Amino acid sequence: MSPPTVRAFPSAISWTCRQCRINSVQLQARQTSLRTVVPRQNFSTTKSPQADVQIRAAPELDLKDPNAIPARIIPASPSYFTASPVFNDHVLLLQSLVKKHASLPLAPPNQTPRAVWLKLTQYRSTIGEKIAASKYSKVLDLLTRLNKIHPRVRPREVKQVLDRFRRPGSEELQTSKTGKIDEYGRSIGVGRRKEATAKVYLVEGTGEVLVNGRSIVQMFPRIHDRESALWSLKITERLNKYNVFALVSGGGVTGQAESITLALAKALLIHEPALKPALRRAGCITSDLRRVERKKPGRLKARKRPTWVKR
Amino acid sequence: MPPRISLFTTARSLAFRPSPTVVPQKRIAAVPTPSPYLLLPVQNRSASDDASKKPAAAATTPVHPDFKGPNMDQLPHVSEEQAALDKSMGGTPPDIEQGTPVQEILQRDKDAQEKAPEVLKQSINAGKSPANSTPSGSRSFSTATRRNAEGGSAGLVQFEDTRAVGLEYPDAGFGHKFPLPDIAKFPKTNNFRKRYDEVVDQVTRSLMRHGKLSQAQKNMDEILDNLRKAPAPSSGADTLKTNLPRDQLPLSPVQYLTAIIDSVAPLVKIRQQKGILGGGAAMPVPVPLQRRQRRRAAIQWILAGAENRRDTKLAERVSKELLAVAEGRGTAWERRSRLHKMATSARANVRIGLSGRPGRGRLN
Amino acid sequence: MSLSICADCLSRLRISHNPRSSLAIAAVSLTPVSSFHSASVMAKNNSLVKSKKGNRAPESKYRSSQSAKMKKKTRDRPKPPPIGERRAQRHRIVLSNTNALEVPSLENWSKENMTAEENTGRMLGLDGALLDKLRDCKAFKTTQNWSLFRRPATLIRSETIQLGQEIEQVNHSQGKKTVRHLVTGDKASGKSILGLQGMTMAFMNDWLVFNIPEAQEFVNNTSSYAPLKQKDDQAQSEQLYIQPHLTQALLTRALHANESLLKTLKFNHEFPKHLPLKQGTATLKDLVQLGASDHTFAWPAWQALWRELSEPGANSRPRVLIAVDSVDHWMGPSKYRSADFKIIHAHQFTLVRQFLGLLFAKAGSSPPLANGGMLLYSTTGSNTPAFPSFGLLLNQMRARAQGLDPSAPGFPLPAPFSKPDTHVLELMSGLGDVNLVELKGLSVEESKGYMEYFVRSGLLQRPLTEISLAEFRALAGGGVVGELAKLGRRVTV
Repeated sequence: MSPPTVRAFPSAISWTCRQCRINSVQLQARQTSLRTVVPRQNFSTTKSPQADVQIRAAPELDLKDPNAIPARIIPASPSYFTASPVFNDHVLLLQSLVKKHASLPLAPPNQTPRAVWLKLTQYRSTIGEKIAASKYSKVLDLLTRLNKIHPRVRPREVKQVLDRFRRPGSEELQTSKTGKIDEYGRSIGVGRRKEATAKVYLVEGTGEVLVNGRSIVQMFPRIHDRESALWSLKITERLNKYNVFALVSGGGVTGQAESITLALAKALLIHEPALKPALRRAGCITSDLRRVERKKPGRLKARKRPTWVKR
Repeated sequence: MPPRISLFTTARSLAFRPSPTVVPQKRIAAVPTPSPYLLLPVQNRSASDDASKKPAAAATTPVHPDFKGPNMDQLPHVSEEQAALDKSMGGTPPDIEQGTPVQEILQRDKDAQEKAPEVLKQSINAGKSPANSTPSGSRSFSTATRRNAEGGSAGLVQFEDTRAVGLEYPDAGFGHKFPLPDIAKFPKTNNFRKRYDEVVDQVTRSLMRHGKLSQAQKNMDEILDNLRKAPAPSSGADTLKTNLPRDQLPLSPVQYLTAIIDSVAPLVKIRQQKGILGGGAAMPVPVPLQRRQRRRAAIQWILAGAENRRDTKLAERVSKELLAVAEGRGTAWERRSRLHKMATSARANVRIGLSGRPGRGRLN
Repeated sequence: MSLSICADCLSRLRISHNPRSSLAIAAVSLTPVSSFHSASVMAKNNSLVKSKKGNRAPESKYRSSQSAKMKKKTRDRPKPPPIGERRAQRHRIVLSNTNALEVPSLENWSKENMTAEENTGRMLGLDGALLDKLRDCKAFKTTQNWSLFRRPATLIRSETIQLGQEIEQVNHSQGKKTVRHLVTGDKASGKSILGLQGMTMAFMNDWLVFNIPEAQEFVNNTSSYAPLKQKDDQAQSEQLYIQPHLTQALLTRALHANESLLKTLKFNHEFPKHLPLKQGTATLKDLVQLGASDHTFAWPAWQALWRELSEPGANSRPRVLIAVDSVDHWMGPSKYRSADFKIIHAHQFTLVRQFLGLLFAKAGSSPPLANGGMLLYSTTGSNTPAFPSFGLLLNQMRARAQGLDPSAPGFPLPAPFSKPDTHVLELMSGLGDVNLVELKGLSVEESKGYMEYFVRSGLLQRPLTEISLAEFRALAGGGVVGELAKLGRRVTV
């Protein structure tokens, strides 16, 4: 299957602008003389014999239909004179699609089909233009918007366009590994925060919590930390429905508590996937990627500079 | 670009009206009595008194009906007002020696009854029901001792060789075993990062030094506890803007704190615009503040006032300053009125554009 | 170069080896009787004249240093509080908060409903006379949240009921039954409160109560101590030390808490001659008062008192409760040093030795209390010293509670090649009668009753449902009572 080119698409884009069309009706009489000029002048001194052969008479002009008559030679794409015509064509195409199908119903967030779009480098190599990352993010926004249209009512053209922007081989990527409840009724979740890593075994039970084999009170003397660790069970009101056994290592107290938050939320999702929107709203399944900023040479800490002396 | 808020509409967007700015100093002069809170430790038996030197007659107990609690002795109390009123009207005055329980006040005040917290309403209803001793069925929680013993193991999971047995899911649905929480009704505080009240969080962060959040939270808890234990602000000071009845403020310390901070919060700040007047002089231009900015200003004032106190504990200093502000004393009120006066005198410097928004002085 | 003192004065100076005397001479010689310096005299006269003329302040003719002219800024600091006031503030116990709502259905805890099992999981109020006694024997602690509620009340848990039943058994038993308890448990699991409840029930039954609220005071080198004179036959054994001020404090607590009871008790035995008491008319109250008033009499008074209480005699004796909190501080070397700068072991202090000897009494020895009673010792969870030998002791007690025989192979023994504390190991022979009370989290009903009290006092402003209760229990590590209390006072909205 050959990759479809964008140039095949611009059906939506008229090749004369609206103003020209209006003008053309008014200036019909004057234009007739202009139009008789031979459209193409060949300035080369050496004429190839083939060119001679290929020269054909222009088709007869239909003077009745003003749209059929170009006012002047216009490139196929309106973005022809821009720095990155292909990219701009894409943007215009996607924008027109979004505009056209704006009234279609959207799928709820949990039913939106997962989509992985082309990476920036892949996109650059397919269109052969140098595109800034910020520009491409606009394209991605439009694609996400189109992807939100409910799959049942999604028009064909949208589907085709979306398919062209999908990352090759993304079908495998889309199926993330779903956890399973093992033979003992446990589900396992892993979470990280700062330097800490937590692994949580979640079984149905009565609300017992053990962290590294100790009571949660001994492990986290602050109520704040205990609350963070059990937040996902707390807001879904399931603290007396499950037993938690967590293994944490690394990091400090806050990091350990909040790594349990993430791990516990993930483990809970295996038991009850329908809780995902609630946990998302509660901020429990968003992994916090922030880490300590590294120390740089020539500085005292990550940012702190040594005191500056003039002489 | 002019700021988006109109100076004149800021006041409208607030939950309360700003108090007249001239009041505080006058009030201090008019009411020279010291705060009842300051009188607190002065009692018959000083804390440092040796127990062995205790007079034999002082066999009082804190719950004895004639005993004056540490914060029962405040001056203009509701019951005292009632007593004065009854005396003049020839009725039987209430017992002033005893602090009036909030329930009694609520029974008299229909309006406050509606605004009362759920717990208070329940206790009032319980008092009205004839069978006072037995728990009524209207309570949202059961108090029976042995409920689980009869109904089998409700909520308990039985294990058989590491496997949970006999589980039933009456509320199970697609993708869940137990009833789903209603996301639409989730309060903002259900988010893991925003679990505390807005004002409490802001004060906590302002108390924090050297990034020690847990220490700041500890202090904040103590401050709220102190607010809970201190006497309600005297009804003479009408500086406190809140829609809760004054006597209920200590029992809901967060609302108390919010009321105190929002009451002293300034409406504007004064920006010194340079290079307009010429000659190096800066032109003061009043600029309206957002809600969070206003609170920040108030918190900073209160913390600055707390630094001048001589208590050893930070929480003590801050809570005493907060209570002083609630009573209408405290330097924060003076700073607020001074700032507002300056803003009023500099109000000509606010340039209103054609759009009706205040511009940036006379720059253009 | 000029000298700073005149030559005449210098000539009168004598060199002496005694620096004080030379200074004295210098001071005398430099007094203004100097022979030829007249400037100061003139200036003095001048100023007198001027001051007669006008009221202006005299301008000094001579140059003085700049700093003398500048007025020193004197910051008027407020007077610091009297000595001991700050500490007293720190230790102040507030038992009521008039802002809190009154709980209408709160019953009083009394002798009648002391062991009523239907009270399990309910809060019961403490009333007047009891409160004073408890306060006097320092049963309340600042870490407990008495100051939040309208009036003091405690949660009756199953262990409390059990304790009450044992107290009743002791009351009814004709023999000299002594119940020995060692209460352990996690931090904030209610050990001290159980001690308080024990004391309350003892007061209800007119027992004599001795309380040591903080055992650490005996070992952390903050009080006076003195070696005990020993008789010749004890000379080989180790030196013992008495702690007069701590004994005095113990007697003071006992005096105020048990004053009415002590008044009725007459002497059974003769007391030492040097105690200034009237033989015959004196009661035990006078004896305790003597010890409480003067620390020099504290130790002999305590000895005499203890003899009265432990040795049976003509007059009957009341039952005795001895409560000691955070007893694990007594299980190792103390911070005190002996005269030859050796570390004194906690068991070398007479009071410590005596109290521990009561709990870990050797089998076959005579009952320590004349008329029976209870020993209620509890460990600490928050300020635990690391004494592995005591840990071993506790493990042995747990093993015994599970019915493990001391000769069985699984019985915990000191680790080989370790150096266990010999003083603590000596206690192991007396483990037999000690009952280990391990406090865990509250049961569901108990925690429900406890949290309900917070709701009704208006402190916890959210409805208590089964789900919120489960949340509290899980966050409190399975219903640890102190953690539940923290959650109950926590303000979220």
